[in-house]
Amino acid sequence: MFKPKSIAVIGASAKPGKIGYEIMDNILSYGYKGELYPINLKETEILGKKCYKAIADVPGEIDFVIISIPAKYVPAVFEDCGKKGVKSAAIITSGFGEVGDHETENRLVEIAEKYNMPFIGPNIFGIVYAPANINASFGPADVKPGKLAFITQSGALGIALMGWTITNKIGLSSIISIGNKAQIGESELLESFLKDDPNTKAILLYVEGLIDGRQSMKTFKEVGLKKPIIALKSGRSKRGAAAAASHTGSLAGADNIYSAAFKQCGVLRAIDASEAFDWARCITNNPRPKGKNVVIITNGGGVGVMATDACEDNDLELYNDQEKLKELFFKTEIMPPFGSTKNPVDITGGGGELAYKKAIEAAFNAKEIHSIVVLYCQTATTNPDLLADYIIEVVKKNNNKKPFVIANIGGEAVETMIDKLNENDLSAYDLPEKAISSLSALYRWSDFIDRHEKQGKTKPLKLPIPQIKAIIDNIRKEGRIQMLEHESKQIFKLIGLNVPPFALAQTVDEAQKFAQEVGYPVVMKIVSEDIIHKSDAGGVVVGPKNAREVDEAFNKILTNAKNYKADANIRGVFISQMVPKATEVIVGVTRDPTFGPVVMFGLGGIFVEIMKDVVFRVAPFPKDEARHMIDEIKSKPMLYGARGTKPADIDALVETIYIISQLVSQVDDIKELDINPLFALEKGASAVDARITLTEKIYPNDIQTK
Amino acid sequence: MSKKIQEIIATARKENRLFLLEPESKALIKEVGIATTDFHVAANAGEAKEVAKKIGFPIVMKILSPHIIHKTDAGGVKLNIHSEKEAEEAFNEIVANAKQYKKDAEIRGVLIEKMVKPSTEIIVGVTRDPTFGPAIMFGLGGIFVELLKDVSFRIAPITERDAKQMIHEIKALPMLQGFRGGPNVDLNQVIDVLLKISKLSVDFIDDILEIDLNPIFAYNDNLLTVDARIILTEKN
Repeated sequence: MFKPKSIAVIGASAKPGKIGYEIMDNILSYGYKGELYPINLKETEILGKKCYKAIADVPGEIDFVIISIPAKYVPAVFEDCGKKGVKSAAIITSGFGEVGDHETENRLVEIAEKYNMPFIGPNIFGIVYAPANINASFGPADVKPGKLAFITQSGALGIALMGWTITNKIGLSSIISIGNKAQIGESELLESFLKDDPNTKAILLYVEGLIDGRQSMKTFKEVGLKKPIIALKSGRSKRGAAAAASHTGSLAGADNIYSAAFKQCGVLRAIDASEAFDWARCITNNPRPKGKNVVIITNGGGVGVMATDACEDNDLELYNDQEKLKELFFKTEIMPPFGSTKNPVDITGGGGELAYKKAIEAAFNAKEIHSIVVLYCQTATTNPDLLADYIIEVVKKNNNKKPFVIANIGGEAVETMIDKLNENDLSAYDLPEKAISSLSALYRWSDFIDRHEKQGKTKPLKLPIPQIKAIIDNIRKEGRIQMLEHESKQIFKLIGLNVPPFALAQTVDEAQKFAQEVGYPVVMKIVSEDIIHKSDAGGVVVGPKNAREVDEAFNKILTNAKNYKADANIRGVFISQMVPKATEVIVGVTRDPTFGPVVMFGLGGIFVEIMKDVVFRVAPFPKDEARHMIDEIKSKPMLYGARGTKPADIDALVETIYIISQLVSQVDDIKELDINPLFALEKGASAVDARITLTEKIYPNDIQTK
Repeated sequence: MSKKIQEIIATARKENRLFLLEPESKALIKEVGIATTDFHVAANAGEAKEVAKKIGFPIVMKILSPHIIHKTDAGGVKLNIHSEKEAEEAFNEIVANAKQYKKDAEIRGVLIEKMVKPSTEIIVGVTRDPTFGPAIMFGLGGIFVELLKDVSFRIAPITERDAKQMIHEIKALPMLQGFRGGPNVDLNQVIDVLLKISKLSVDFIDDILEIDLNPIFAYNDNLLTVDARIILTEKN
């Protein structure tokens, strides 16, 4: 597909402006060296190439076909391609899955599989692969060759961004429009081609939705450890997500779950196209940093402060050894006596081309410095063009041994300077914030690799699955999907969570006996699948502290329940030890349509409900991730002993989150789960309330009886 | 400008103090129409008993000394006092603690207040910015201000519209709107306090440097300032 010796364009046209013409024109003008066969029923020659009426008429082998004919003809023609022995295809034509015709789209996949003829599309604008001089797209012709692969799910936006990369001097190894992803999506491309493509250093993905979130995560992680992946995922807003779903017919999961998933598999998520390409520029041009010390070299104080602010916002560390900085930069050829060797190193407005060159040289040579940021404000005493040459020379001489970014602020001459730097594969920007944000993206990718290397493999936790299944089976048999509290807590006990002692009493005598066993004071609650809002029904009594009070509470609960709902099926009264108040946290699970089980963690009450101070992770994940989750919430000081509270047992919380992630990964029946609250104690954690909902699948017994 | 306020400030100036004592701060904000807890000062244990009996239990007792700012650290605060006997003991204990904390502290007695029912806490403050001058702060008390920094600021003087925006800017606002059985606060009263504090900070810009009404207990139908601190400017 990417290095074909021969290409056929089915639906090639002789009329400029037609897709079939533009593709032909692009292939030719981009310098494709192989055989090119236009296929058209009426024409005899297109753009100097002999035309054929059908694919079968073409003499010799065809490696790759591009199909751009009306949708209704596509399946038959595609079948012909198969018969001809075509190796791969790109189906440009629209009007399949995206407008609801999944049947025909599936038919295309069948044909492809039958003839072992993989295809991208349908509903795409084509592909570009610069190393093989292929531009088989109806986008702009003059794509700048480079090291970045751009995969896009959107057509129009993809074409527009192609144009953008040309104007902004962003080099691309490939552009692949994946459209409906009928057979080949981003994961397949990454896995089977881009991961090992020596011409691709980084990947930029525009996605609206992933089809199999988990499989994608696996691929992203595997590829991401070799080459950074930047994702531009639209549909962040609720409205945006709805538009995306109807647009390409893909299911867009909740956006914060996408963010969590990307973070877990090391994908760098950019907010907008400008940010995505800014990052891509830095990431494709630079090596991984060897340490965290950043130095800023500037000729202006103001811009230096702006860059310093941006470093703090982006968690970059400015190198701060005053002695060493002075030793490196306090030299007459670099700065006047009134210059500053504090980081940012200020060579002052008088600093000329040579001063920049010497300062950058010094930064490259100092082993204490790991990354270099250069800022340049246009001055009348410097020549931007000459400065660009000096900088290119010194960076090239140092063979990209350290990450280097540069921001240049000024007029037209500076714009030209930025272009020149970018054309020479340096990472140049027009604002310091863009340079810093891009360097920070490189650091985040590098940190992801470090973290992954330290993490090691996580083995699945051994859980008593048969016992858990037995409880679930009983519930299924009764046709319920909502577990009662004692059932949920039985499961928690089975997987080793700490649950306050509890029992289910049918009679007053039992209630008194159990209360004695679990320990006073107790909490008593009605147990009935017909009463969900227990408090509203008067079905909860908190605090009985002796046998007499248990007796009273038992009778009161039953009477209230009967009054509330006369025909409620009452299973008894749940009795549990009352746990002293503690910091409340929540561990929850929801099943996302794209990513499957996702674990949520946050502090209880207002923190989750009002402040929305929660984090998500796609399950399962290593224990380290559970710890990161706790560290990510803003209200975490509440767990570390803020405001006179005792520090909570963080290890116990980590353990709980981890066990729950294992439970929901191993038991598909669980749709949703909530431990709300989980008490974060000084020692341990206690699951005070529990709620598990099962998936709505039909129990096999039901099928047999029907 | 209120004469009473000028007197309170003059007294502190005369004593070379850069802060007002709690009863002074409370008297001052009362003067601009902000409700505070009632307070009494007892000079000795006997008086403490009498005052306590008069206002009713439970009560709170705090050391009153121009030399002790951090009353809690000095062991100078006792909560939940339920009887005359406890009041007498608390008085002696507070004074003893204070003397131990700072030998030469001038002790002006013990502040006695009726303990009020706790509720959701809000904070109204004034800080002096070197560039903009007095700035008004609003937020919910405790963790919201300390950990989550969920506060809003405006430069004084503020308008009613500013005050409204300040209130609606904080994320934890539902805490004042009946969340989880909490109070449903009349926000007009909060606006009123913000406007009064803004005016105070501008009217007395030469004297008042900082104000902290922290906490103000917010109930369904009223607000009550439980603690107030006012810092003065360093002028001659």
